[in-house]
Amino acid sequence: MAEYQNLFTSVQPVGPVHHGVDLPRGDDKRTGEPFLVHLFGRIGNAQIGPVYLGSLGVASLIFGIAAFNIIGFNMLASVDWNPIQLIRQLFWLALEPPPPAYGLGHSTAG
Amino acid sequence: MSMLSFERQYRVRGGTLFGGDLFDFWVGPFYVGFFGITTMFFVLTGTTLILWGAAMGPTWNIWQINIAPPDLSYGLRLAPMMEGGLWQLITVCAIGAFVSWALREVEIARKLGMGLHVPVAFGMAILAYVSLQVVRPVLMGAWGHAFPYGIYSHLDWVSNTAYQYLHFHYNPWHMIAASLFFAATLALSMHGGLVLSATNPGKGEVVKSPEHEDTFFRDFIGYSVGTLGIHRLGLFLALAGVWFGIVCIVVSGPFWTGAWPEWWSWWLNMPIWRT
Repeated sequence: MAEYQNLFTSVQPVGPVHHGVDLPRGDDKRTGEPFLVHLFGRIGNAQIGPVYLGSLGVASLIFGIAAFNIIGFNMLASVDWNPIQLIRQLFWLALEPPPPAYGLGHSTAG
Repeated sequence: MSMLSFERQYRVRGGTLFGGDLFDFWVGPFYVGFFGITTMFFVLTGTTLILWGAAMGPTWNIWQINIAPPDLSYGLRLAPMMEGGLWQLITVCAIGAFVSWALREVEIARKLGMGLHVPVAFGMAILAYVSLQVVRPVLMGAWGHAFPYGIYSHLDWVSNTAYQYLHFHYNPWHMIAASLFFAATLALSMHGGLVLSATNPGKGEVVKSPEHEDTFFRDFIGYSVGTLGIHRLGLFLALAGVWFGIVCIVVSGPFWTGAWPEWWSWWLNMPIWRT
């Protein structure tokens, strides 16, 4: 009967970490020295990292952080800059799109 | 039906749960088994009952055919055939067919010496159906709380049931279930995209290996769950999604009768906010 029946990897071979296949010339370097986490290895690969950021990755982070901050600070402003109320009402807070009266024209900040 | 040259060696005897060797045979490419027979019995009986119900009903319009459960006044009793009894028999046939189909999967897996992951996963879908049609109606005291059999009518049931709780998307278990379903779709579509991209390289490139697949996801998000791990992750996300779907509807009615947006007032009224 079934001998290969498992939900978790029971035996984890530990070897040298992989630094990834070679990158084309002109690319940035990868970031971070890879390391192993045993519990991750129970489900899938144990290795964390390295990560490749590159210029588009940096751009992605800049835009992401900007969006997060614009949303967050507008929510904070809507509760009178009270950080406790920000957490308490977080699920109900929103940064709304311009009201329909603006049509497809641009709204004004604040 | 022709058989592939290597296929015969997988048609091994045994592994049956019931009936011994009596039903241990194939028809064309299909394994039969005791549960293949019971599946056919329940499918044919149930389909015939649905056709009977449609014939007795006002329309043959495929979208509008409806076989409704008994009125709430019948509670959990048996109803006359044309007043919900048909629905009750069809439900018995449906559960019989689904469970038979799962047990047939178990027999096939046992024959091949495989794990029981497929029938266990299908079992979660069966549990969802049984929760909607049996567990929740029993907890609420009437078969009339189950959904009707019909294309438009079951959509109406979903809409009506959701509005009974004002805004069903505020149900926290519904939130978890929907998030898990989206996550499962994301994980498995990325898995499909990754494998296809590795096996369909550009012109002049060689087919890529799991080393390239791991590198893609490490470069991308710093972690690759791996070739076996993605299937565990996908199965877990999908089954967890169904499980929280079961919880979200069984809670609605038997354990929470108000509006779901109101449920969240405990968060707003916690004593830690008073400072």
